[in-house]
Amino acid sequence: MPDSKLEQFIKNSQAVENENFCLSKNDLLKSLDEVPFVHLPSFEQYKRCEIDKNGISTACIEADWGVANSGTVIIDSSKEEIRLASSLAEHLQVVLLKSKLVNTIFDIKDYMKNQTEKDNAYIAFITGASRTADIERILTIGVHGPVKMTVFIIKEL
Amino acid sequence: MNSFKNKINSKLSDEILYNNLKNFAASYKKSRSAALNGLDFENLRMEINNKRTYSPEYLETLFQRFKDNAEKSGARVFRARTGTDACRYITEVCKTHETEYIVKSKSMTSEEIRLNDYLEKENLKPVETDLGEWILQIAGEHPSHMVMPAIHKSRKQVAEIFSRFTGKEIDKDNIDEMVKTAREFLRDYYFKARVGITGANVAVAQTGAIATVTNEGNARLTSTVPPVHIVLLGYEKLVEDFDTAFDIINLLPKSATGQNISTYVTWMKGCYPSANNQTDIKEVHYVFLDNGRLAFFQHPEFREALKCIRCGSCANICPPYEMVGGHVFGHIYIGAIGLILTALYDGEAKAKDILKLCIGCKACSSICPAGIDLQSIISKLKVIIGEEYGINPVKKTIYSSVIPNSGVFSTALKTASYFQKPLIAKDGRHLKSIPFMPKSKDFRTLPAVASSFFTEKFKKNYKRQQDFKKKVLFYPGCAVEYFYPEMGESLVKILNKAGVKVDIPGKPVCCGLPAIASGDGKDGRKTIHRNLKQMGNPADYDSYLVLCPSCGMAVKEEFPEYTADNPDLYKLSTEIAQKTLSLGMFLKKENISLKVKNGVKVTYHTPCHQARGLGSSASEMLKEILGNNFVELEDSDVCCGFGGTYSIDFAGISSGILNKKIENIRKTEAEIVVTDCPGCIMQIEGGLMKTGIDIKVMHLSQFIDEYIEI
Ligand code: SF4
Ligand code: SF4
Repeated sequence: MPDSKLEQFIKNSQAVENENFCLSKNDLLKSLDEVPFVHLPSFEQYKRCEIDKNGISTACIEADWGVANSGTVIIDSSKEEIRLASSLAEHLQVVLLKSKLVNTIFDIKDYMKNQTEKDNAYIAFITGASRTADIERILTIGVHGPVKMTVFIIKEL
Repeated sequence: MNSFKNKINSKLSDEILYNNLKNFAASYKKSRSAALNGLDFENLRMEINNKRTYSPEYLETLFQRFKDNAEKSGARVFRARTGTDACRYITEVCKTHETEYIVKSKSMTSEEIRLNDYLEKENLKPVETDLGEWILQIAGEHPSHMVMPAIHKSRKQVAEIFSRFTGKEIDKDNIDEMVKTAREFLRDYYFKARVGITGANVAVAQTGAIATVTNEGNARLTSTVPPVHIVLLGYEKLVEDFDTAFDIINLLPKSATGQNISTYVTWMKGCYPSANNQTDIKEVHYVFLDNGRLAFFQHPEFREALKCIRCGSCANICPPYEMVGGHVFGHIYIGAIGLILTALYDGEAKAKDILKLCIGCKACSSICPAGIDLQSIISKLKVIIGEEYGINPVKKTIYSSVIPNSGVFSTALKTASYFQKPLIAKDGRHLKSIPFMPKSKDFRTLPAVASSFFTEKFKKNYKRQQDFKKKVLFYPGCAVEYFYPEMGESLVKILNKAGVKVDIPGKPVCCGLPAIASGDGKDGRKTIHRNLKQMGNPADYDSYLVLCPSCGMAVKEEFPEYTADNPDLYKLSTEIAQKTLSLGMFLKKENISLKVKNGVKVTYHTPCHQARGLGSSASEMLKEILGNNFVELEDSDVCCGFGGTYSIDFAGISSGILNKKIENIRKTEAEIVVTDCPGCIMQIEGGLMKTGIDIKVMHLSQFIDEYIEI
């Protein structure tokens, strides 16, 4: 089963209502026109905008890892703008290279150790849009942060 | 005590609370087991438990490592001995930064030290950002659940609270709109506040990183937007490395809500960039709270409680909690762990009433992902506090003077059996009514005291048995001895047919559990010691059998514990403990073949102390014998609400739990409910009879005797 990690990731990501798309690098770059905040080191694509309490419409950010057994993406958010963009965008788009898929969070123990051995670090594990079930346990999306989340998986990388 | 009883009664009549908790419990069990599917839960939780057994010295090492790492990265670390120390330090930081508002996220520890009250007295304005906690904050209330703080509220009540707070009309059915309202208000506060306070779910000593877990994402904003971040945490959050930290992060959401993983797990280390701070760098403070914790790291049992990862599952499956909710069942920390932490952190005086609410079903111990045996700790605390505050004087007399002396006990019950005569119902086995029993406690038809006790009957009818190859000692316990001798007779008949000789103890003696469960350890010990003298020589018996799993559990757990200081008795009790089995377990062990005589539709209630004391259930066996005539009972192993004198002391809770059991029994449409515990029979049969439901309740021994061929 060559694609099982990918399939598992998508299944678990869908389970938390994320949209998932497998696409090519070129298609991805075409989709960025309308996006005010972009941070994609692998493609050297960066775009910045002002982020205040009104939030922003969309942020597109590359993840360091994707975790198959939970549909989680791992985003290094040590830069403040990434923290703000990923928490204050209405729609969070995450770009994940297929080669960066691991099975479980236990596979990134070394990464976590290395990152947090630095003087400062802020690493976010994100699995879906902001949600709450605090009122009568009815699931409601978008209580503080993103209302929608999409994962773009770049298959060729 | 009266105001405590009133509090219980008002919660028992709170319909919103009742329905919310009942529905939640049902869906929780399903999603939890789905989330744990494919994982070796027992193994995982034991691993977490073992890895986190810290000596005080090791904990100090972990702390120093964390501190060094954090300070190297520019963060400040403060050790608060008491809650007030922590409040004072935090207030100081807030004042230095001249903040009016303070946003807060995910900190039960701040509830523990009543931080908000302290800040408000200092004219600071803390704002809870977790939706549930914010609802309660603006309503002037406190959380009633660890994971779902506002589970006791309905959407209608929330709409009213929001309308009052915002001055806007809010649609009472539109939860989306309520959430949007909260989002708008809270978004503002993140930007107004100069200080954010969060808790931490784990603190990794290896590198000095902490993690916070949320679904709403509020901890992310709280730690990102304001220029100052204060982390308030207890020492118990320290772990060695990411391996242990991930173990916790992995099991926590599965246990808490049945989620695979929490939406946001945020790892923070040191002082990361912050444009809102003049220095462009976040100012970070770690406040480590002692407040009694460090002392308990020395205690062999109590330190277990410090392994809690705050998942809330011990509340989620606790039957009495499900009846009364967290405003009664615990103080700040709620559920089973709440009872314990209340005793440890807030003192015995605060804990003494609420500890009694535990019915001893052990459900919490079997579900805790940190591997804490909560029920044992609660039972120990009951004994400690019982010694300190005394127990009910009537009970004390019974436990000290009546129960340990079999002569006195038998005579007392003989007298009762004589005086009850006018009260006996037509069936000859139950009481028509019970004089002086207030209506609120009269929810069951109770059995009459037997006219002739088991030991007499045994001596008369079964003294001479064939000398079979196998021999067991049957321990009847009080219930069979005085109320249900026919169960014991069935056992003897079955075993004789199967070629097993049955002996009984020289004199009938109570197992001591009732005294211990009521907090009377001294008399429990006395009773146990007397008991052991009556139980023969283990070398002579293949097994020791019980028909009451609570007696069985007492023999297995309490007997060794309460003889630990007496080498001879300890040796004897451990030998007996190893040989103690229920009837079903014995039949299985001896491979005795059973065949059903005729088709009868049967369901099975698994007694608490059988499932979680003896670690077995007869339901598999019955399914095998009965095939399609066996119907699975929903929540078979959930407590029936009996708990001995609990069902009189807390009749409202007991009958509430029983009603849920009866509802499930009705759904099976079975003709007979079989179970394996005389106490459960007293409760379930009593409840069914009182409500006029015509379903027979039988002990496994009677059922086999009547319906099965050996
Ligand atoms: S004691 Fe165990 S079950 Fe209860 S909240 Fe803590 S970790 Fe969860
Ligand atoms: S033993 Fe049962 S009643 Fe007691 S706290 Fe645990 S779950 Fe609740």
